[in-house]
Order: sequence, then C-alpha cells, then structure tokens
Amino acid sequence: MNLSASVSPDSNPPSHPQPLILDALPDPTPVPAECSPRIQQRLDLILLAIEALELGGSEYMLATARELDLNSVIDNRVTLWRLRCTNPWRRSYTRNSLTIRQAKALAIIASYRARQLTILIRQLLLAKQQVQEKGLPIEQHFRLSEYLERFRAHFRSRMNLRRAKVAFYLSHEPELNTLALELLGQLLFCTGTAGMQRFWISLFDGEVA
Amino acid sequence: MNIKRQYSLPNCRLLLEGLAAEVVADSDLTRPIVSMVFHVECSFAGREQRLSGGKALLENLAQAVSAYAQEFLSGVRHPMPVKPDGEAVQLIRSESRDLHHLRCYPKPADGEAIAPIQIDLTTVQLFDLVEAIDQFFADTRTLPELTLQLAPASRRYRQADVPVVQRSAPFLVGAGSLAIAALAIFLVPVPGPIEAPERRLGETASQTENATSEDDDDDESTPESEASESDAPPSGPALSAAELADVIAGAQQIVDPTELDFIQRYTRRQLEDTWQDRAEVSQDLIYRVSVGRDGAILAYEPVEGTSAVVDDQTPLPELVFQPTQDAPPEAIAEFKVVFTDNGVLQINPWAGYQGTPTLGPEIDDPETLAALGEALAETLSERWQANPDLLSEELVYRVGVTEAGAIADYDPQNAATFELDSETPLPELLTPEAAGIGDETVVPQEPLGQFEVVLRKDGSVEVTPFQ
Repeated sequence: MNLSASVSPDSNPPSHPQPLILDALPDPTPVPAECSPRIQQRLDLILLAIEALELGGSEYMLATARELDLNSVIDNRVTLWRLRCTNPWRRSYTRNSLTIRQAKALAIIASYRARQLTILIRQLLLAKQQVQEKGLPIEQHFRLSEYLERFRAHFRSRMNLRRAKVAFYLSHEPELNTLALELLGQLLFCTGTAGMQRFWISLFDGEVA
Repeated sequence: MNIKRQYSLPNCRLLLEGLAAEVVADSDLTRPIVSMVFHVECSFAGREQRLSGGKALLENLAQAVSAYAQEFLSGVRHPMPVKPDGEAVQLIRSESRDLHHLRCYPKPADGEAIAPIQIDLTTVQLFDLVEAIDQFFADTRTLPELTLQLAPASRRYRQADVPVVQRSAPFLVGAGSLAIAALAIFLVPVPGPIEAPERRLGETASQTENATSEDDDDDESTPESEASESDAPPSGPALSAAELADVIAGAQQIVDPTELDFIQRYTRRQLEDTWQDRAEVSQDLIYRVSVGRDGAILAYEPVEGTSAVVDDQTPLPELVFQPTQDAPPEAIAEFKVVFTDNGVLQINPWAGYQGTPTLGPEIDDPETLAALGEALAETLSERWQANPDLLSEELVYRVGVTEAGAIADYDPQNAATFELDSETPLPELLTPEAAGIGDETVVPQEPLGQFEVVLRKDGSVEVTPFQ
C-alpha cells in the first residue's frame, strides 16, 4: 500500500496511568495540542445520533466509559456534558477545546456504542433505501421516522439558534433529516473491524498539513 | 498448495486464491500463511457483475475502497497515488448521494480498451465491501505484508464552505478515489462532488432564517420529553436582510475607546481561533464587520473590491450570530478586518479611536499587586514548558488578574505570541467570568491587577507590573 502511516508514540505521557484502550487509536502527527472546533462538532453530533437511536443513550455512554476503564477521562455525566459542549453549535458552548486524549475517549465510546447498535443501524439504512426506492416519504417507516424525530428534538433543545447554521437546519427540516441520515451512515462505518480507527483518523481529514 | 480465503458479509464476498508458504509442521493447528495470491474475486449479493483479477486488482481495490471509506466519513477528498499496473478501481458518489458507483477499468487486452465495469452500491453494500477489505487487512495469515494504513488527508483537500445560494452553481471538485492504470487514465470521468455534512450548508450574512435568542438551558433530558416540540418551527420574528441593515445602521455606535478596545481584542481572538485554512487566501480579503456589545459578530460586508464569493475562506460565516427583533442590538462596534494573503489577521476600529483605551478598572494597591504577581508567577512556572521546536523568541503577554487571583484577560504583546497561544498555559487558565466578562459585555466589571508576563525558552517565567 502506498498510503503512508502517520502513527507516533505518545510523546507526552500523562502523569496518571493512561487507559490502555486509548492506545488503540494512533496519534496524528504532529500531535496537535488540542482539537479544532470542527472535530469537536463532529464528535458531539455523532453522539447525538446515538442518543437518537437508543433511549437513555448518554447513560449507556457513561456505562461504556466505565467498562472500558475510561473513568480517568470521563468520570461522570457532567464531565461528559462539558466535553460535548466544546461543539461550537451548542447553546452552552464553552470555547474550550478537547485534548487529544479526551477526543479519543469520545471517539472510542461512539464506536463501541455504534457496534452495540449494529443491527438497528443496518435496519434503518436498509429501510431508508427501500422507502426512497419506492418514492415514499421517509416518515412512512415508523422506526426511521422515530429516529429522525428524536434527532431533531435533541438538536433543537441543545443547539444555539443564534448560530446561523443551526438556525438554517432548524428551519429546513429536510436538511436536518439529511444530516441525521448522514450521521447514521457514519455510525455504520464505525461498527466495522477497523471502524473505530477509521472514524478517528477521519476526524483529522483536512486538519493536517 | 492452493488455498482459498473468503471474507463474507451479507452483501459482499471477497474471495482470494493463492499459494501457501512452505507447509509448517504444526499446520494442523494454525492456518497456513498465504504468501502469494493469483486470483481475486469480489462479488455482491444479487448481482451478476463481479470484479475479478490478480493481486494488482486486490491492491487497487483495497486502496480505493479504504480511501473512499475515509471520504465517506469526513467528506474530505483523499487523493490516490497512481499505480501503474493492473485494473484501475474507482469509487464515485452519485449525485443523489445515496448510491456509490464502484467502477473497475480492466487492463486493455491487445491494446484495446475494454469497457469498464460499474456496480452501483447502496451505503450498506458499500460498508460490507469496506468490511470485507478490513477483515482481509486484519487477517495476518493472508498476505501479512498488506495491512490497513490510515492517514488523514491534507487540509489542501478540504473544500471551502459553499453558501446555500450557490449550491446549484456547478463547481468542479474531485472526489472519487482513483487508482489508475496508466493506459486507462483517459477513460476516467470527472468525479462528482462530495460534501461534508457539516460543511455542506453555508450561509451568508444576509440570510433571513428565523432565529430566537434563548437562555442556556442545555439539558440532557430524555427524548420523550422533547419529542413533542420537535416539529414546531423556530418561533420569534425574523430580521430580514433589509431589517438587519436598518438595525445596524440605526444602532448606536460604541465609541468608548476602552470598550471598543476590549471588543476588538475579543473579536480578534474569535477570528484567530476559527480561521483555519489560511493558505486558501490568495489576496487580501477586506471586510466591514459589525460586532455587538457582547462580542457577537452580527453582520459583515466585503469591501474595497473583496468579492462575497470568497466569504467562505474566512471564519466570518461560521461566527456570525443573527440578531432578532426581540433583542435587536442596541449598540454596535464596527471594525475593518483584513485577512491578508500571507495569513495575518488585521483588525482596527472602522472609525478609529476617539481617545486612549484603558484596561478597565485596575487594582492599584501595591501590596495586593505584589501578592497577585507572585501567585501568578508560581501558577505559570508550574505549567510552562517551552517547546524548543516552536519557540525562537520569548513570549510576552499582558495578563489581567482578579483580586482572587483568576486570570480574566490576557493579550499578546509581541507578534510571535498569537500563533503560539495554545503552547502556553494561558488559554487553559483563562476565566473571564471571574471578572464579570460574559453574556453582556466583554469589558471586565471587576478591577484587575495588570502584569507583564514573559515566558522564556528555558522554561523560566518573569512577572512584573504592567506599565
């Protein structure tokens, strides 16, 4: 293969023990000190899509963090919420940035949750295809319409209407549905053998020299 | 010994036929290593068409599929190196966005080009193909030298935001993954555009969507409680482009030099933080930018020959906040902002300063100042680690500290420091709300002790009262 790998060992080992699972994801080179707003936005939105797929999604995320020994990065609900509020679209946008370690933890949790939801994600994407082939409105499918409705509700309650893009999405429901469906597609790709790595590296697309 | 290896998914099957390396003694226990592959077949459930070829097809297919999967995830194009032999494989996203065209250009036989094979895949089918390839990569007993290699695409391949109004205009952006056989190269059509979900929608300052200003009540409540309101359109009266222009024109101009100066610094920081693709700017882009008292960018307008088409090369569309009729801005500050072609940001009050800006209310008690200075030096020394690769000179900042020792404001004093901000402990320590800087105003409401801080390459920190 001609694609070059850009993997380097963590040059700044943190003082407390590094959760082993974080090593499953390579560091981009050069290692940025923190993440860009775009990366933070993508991470929060993919988690939002997961919440729209399963009731109690954020509880499962916390449980997953505990299972994977990520407590030192995400120890409770408030921390998880704070990390997610690095998404510039959020009402409670903090202007803080995620460290690479925090971003890895979120990407890992998203991928693990996605893997648990593989069957549902595939079903919904197949349903979308079938509904569209028949030329029917997407709301015809109960489960799919439920996902979209929840996604829109989450988006509406959490995102800042004064952001022009957010306002655009909220006044153009089909566009917001398209965003939800694109995130569903991304979630499918997270479920694969190398899904977690693929999703993680893709966050840095267009971010490196 | 001929060996077949098969990677089967619900929609896709990848079959490899090859030869094992020498048979080892414990071959009953372990799968032999396939070190050579001479036949490859990739087929899809319910499709007659299939791809077949040799090892070069496998390599080209794996590379094209892997790169396309990354494009699918991020929306950023992944350029492919040209591989001179074997069948070229290409993936193109269809216009309708829900299909992916897998194209294979067979090797020309006797100098005659053979028609390419095209198989249209749904997203789930595409994923199964990616998964078959990833399972092959992960299989250490089949061509162990081929493993998954992932690297992010360069920012060169990131597209600028395309404003909504221009979305119908044709624009040529490459997107397909290409592994091209030298002879087939002229058969390759121009790939269609792929857009990232988050960047597919741009907006302009004159956009007229409804917008309401709401309190920060972000909660993670359950979907049931939220679902009922999901279909209600955003309420609140819209400000049309003309109304916005009127409001801006009618708003009181902020002339207090201190407030203007704080808003200018706040705006500069917002823009510096969000201006990513500086290399895309090929000529100076000049804007008149209107900013509210709270630092929100309300409107912008290209001036002095700058075309609105290039707005997306700047962070302005990303940052603009829409005022509403409910809460029209009462006072605004206007700035001339230049994004220069060499990546430097210039910002100045549109009408200049009327008077000399101050730093707001100041702590002047010498004892308090001495104590605050010492505490500040200690906090910074603990955290300051100079990165010798980045630092060629010392970094000088003005730092404003509350009576309780919180860093509420800081400002670089030499040119190097803006880009190196993130290397210092300052952004992490900054808590503007400690001085009452927040939703209403960007000017500190509490008195601050002002210090000059020098961060040196050798890791030392010097703190002196700011003159």
